[in-house]
Amino acid sequence: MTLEKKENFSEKVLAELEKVKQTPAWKFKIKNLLFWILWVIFVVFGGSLAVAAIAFHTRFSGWNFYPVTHGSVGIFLLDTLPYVWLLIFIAFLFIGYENFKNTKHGYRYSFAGIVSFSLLCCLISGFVLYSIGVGKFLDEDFGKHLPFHHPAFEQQLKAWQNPGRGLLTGNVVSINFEIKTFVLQDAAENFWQVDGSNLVEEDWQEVLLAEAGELRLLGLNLSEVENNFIACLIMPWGEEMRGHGLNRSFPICGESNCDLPPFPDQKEIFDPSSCEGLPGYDVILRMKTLK
Amino acid sequence: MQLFSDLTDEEIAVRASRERFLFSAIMTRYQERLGRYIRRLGVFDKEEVEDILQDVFVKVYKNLQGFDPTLSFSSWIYRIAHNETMSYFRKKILRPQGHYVADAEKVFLTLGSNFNLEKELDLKIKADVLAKVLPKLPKKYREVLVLRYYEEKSYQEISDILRLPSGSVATLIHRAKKLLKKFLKHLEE
Repeated sequence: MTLEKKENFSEKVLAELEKVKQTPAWKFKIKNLLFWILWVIFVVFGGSLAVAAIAFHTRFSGWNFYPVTHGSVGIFLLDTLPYVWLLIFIAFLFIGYENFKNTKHGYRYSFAGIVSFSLLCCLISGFVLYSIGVGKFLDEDFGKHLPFHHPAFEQQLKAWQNPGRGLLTGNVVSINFEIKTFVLQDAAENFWQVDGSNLVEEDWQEVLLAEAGELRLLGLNLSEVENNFIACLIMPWGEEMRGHGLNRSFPICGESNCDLPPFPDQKEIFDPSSCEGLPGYDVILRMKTLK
Repeated sequence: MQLFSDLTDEEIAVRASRERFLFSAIMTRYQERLGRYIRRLGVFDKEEVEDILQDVFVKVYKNLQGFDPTLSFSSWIYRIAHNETMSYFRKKILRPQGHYVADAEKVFLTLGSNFNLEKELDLKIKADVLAKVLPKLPKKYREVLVLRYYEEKSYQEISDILRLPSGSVATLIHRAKKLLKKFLKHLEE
């Protein structure tokens, strides 16, 4: 560009600038602040709420009993993972990443760096929220209104309301010590005559008498018509689960509404007189002994 | 203008946001360089280069109060020039069709010495070969090569101009050189 042309160009631009109004500095500051605020909202707030819900759901989805409720870890995970919370968490992380990247110096950090930092913030604040009970509120109270989401307790109850697989849950209504039987009302409000002669004395004393109320039973459904059940093991739901669902009405897991794969016919592999051969019996017994 | 020759770009930028006449010092310093850069990005029409350049200076002036003095002014103004040129391509639904070759010889020497092209490939490549090959590279590679070897920007400056992490800039340059080498080898065959 010749000197003359350069000068002409400068004059042209300077004349153009006469009409231009500068954007005030506060607008840039507000814009930058807005990206930070959005990052905080989506990651520190939203992400940590999702982490609290995921932590609660994972803890109370019934890990201990997967050998009897689902048969394998894979099926258990497929059935119980909190997909909705995980999706919400990933979406919040992604939105947070986009906002962080748009902050003044955000572009200098790599994707892995920003995501790791956001993840760390979510985990720390998420576990704080979980420890003060926010996770329970989100998974149970708020979560039941979320489409496609099943709260952890509801999932556990569904898994145990499955007499065809030798799983039963409900409230103890009456006990007959002489003939070692008790009556149980399940979550679908059916009454079950339960044979407890295979139960050890400790179960009678410590679980049935001390915990009397909400129980889960592992055993054999002898007759679907008469609702007779042989109990091999009984377990209380525990403090966290107490009062969280047996007052709800759940249908019995049958052919039409059960998501879980069927077990082999228990009557063929199971000896009702000793409980031997009952799927998962050894695992749960070992677990109970360790406690 | 001589009065301001001792001032840094950043100092002028801060003052020009209050005193418009100082903006001409910025234009004097950057007009040539940015014009060349826009041509190197693939805009050949002189009038269009001038139009883009004018838009760049208007935008720079408009956003002068948003200039972050922790960055170099040069990186900031290059970023605006880059964005305006890309927006020009988008508006025209165009792809850069060639490359500015005026100083390609110098660039070729820098690039060549950088990965020993002549030794490795035993090619007697002329600068215009490089100018033919560059436009064939994907945009992301072309951009970093232009900034690194034509504009002689540091990795940090390229990171600030393209708004990419420095690590990604290094990776892009490495891959771009590898691809360039492949193209040159293909030309030889």
